[in-house]
Amino acid sequence: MDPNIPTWMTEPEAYSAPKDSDGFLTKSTLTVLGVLSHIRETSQRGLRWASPPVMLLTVLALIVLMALSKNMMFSYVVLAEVLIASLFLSGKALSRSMKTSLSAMAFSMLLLLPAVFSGTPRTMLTVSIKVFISVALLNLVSQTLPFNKITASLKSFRIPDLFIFTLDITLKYIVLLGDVCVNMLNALRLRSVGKNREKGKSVSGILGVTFLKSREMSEEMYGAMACRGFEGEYVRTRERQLSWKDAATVLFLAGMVALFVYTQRAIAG
Amino acid sequence: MHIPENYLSPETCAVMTAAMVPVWYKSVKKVRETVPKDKIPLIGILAAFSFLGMMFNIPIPGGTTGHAVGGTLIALLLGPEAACIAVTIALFLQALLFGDGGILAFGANCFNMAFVLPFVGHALYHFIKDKIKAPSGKYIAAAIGAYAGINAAALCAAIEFGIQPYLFHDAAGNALYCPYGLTVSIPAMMFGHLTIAGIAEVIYTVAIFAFVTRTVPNMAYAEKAPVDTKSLRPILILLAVLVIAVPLGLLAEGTAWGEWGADEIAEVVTAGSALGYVPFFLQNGFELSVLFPDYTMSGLPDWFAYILSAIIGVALSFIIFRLFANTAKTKTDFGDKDDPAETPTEA
Repeated sequence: MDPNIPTWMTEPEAYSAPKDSDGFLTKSTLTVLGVLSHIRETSQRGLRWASPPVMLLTVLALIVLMALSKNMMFSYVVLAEVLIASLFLSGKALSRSMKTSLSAMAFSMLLLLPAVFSGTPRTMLTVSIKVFISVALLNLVSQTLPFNKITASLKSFRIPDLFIFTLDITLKYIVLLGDVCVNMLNALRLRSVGKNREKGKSVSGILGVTFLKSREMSEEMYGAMACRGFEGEYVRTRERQLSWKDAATVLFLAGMVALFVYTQRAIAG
Repeated sequence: MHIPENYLSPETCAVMTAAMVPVWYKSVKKVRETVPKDKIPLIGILAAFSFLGMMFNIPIPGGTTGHAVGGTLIALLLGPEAACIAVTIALFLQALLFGDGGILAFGANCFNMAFVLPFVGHALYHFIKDKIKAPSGKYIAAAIGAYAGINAAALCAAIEFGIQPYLFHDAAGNALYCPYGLTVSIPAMMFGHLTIAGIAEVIYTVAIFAFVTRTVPNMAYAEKAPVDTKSLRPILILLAVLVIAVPLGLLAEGTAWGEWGADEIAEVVTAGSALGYVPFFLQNGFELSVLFPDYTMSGLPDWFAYILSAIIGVALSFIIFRLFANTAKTKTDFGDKDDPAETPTEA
């Protein structure tokens, strides 16, 4: 045996690490990955009826009209429409959309529970059904349109560039910094051998590093954008003319406005 | 056949719901095991047929109405367990959104229409199908199964109605819940279902069964081949046509037997005399506030509200079963079953 090798190195060793619960790491990693996969998925989705600005306009208009309407007739028609439109979502998008809409509805039911005891149970029903419809409508947009299309369509609504810039960068950074977080959580998990009682303490470490990283990255990115001639102004390339789908959607919206006027007059008369 | 709120005592409702719990549990388990993931949304489509079938009210001589249920139809295509779940969902939507059938009586309604009806229809269909060698044998078997199924369900409903006055009445002898005993309820329910409603169920079942087996031959769950969206198109078109046609169900005036509201029941004439009083709990019982009472919306024309209700019901039953399919796991056989760590799981 080589005398240079210390004896402790030649002894056989059977070390098995004591079991450690790593719920904190797993849960944090899964949460971050969930958000990331949601953003990445939506950026690949293709199905849509009309161009993003027209879709966004239609959905917002329907929500406003529904909020303005003084009876439920209009809302029921929108409910039927949103349910049918939801059927065209992919399986995963449909369950995500229903999950958020139903939990929003459940939350508003909880808030309006006092109405039931004060003798107007229908108020709870009508308000929470409106909440359900609104959230489901918004989900139609967020589940079918990639994020960059949504920010692009904001431009056609004459929203200030600074706002679009902030939103755009935020969304991009959620992805980039999320990646950083996942990598660090993985590193922490790989380096934790045996029992590590202080994993919770690493939260501050991870957050701190992520923050430093984000500052560094934002400076670098701004520099890169400035080098490429960005002056804080978003230029939207002219999109093609209104397609027949857009025209049909606008026509549909006009029909809904007419229905809104009809239902509101019906209640007055 | 939808038993409304307060026609059955809460005790009866509790017993019927307790009876349904094991049936639901078994059905969900069986469907998860046998129906492949890509066919679960088909249960939703068939649940929509059942939902629509129940909206077509048909007048029955004597001033009441009846309707088809379509439970046997689903049982023939996807098995009685799937039919049980599908009809349960259709009944649930009707009770919760449209106030058709009571929420307390939900268990009893499910027992009649989601358990007795499809299981009887399916058993009879299989018994007869092999006996008849002719090519039309399966349609004849389907017809007999559907007829027997709906009548068995009606008989159960009649018995549930009929035992109420014997068990629950006040000191003056006035019934607290359903006021009609077995001698009135059984003939009244069976007359409607042995004649008009039974025939309606037979026509509905056989017509759609023939249509589906011809347009989408691999719809049945026994077939392994997946169903692609394109081949479903004729069925979806048929559904759309039925949705637009539902206002025909409004033509039948009058209320189905045993579904009168508290304002109607005192004037109902049975066996030559009006009841003359309103049972206590019919007037003072539990009442759930629903979105669209009786498929109507104040301010909207009835036909429009009826179509809107149909659309909402159909879309919701589609959505519920697609969500149910999402939770199902795709079964993939990788061969090695001994190593549990290797067992594949798919999101």
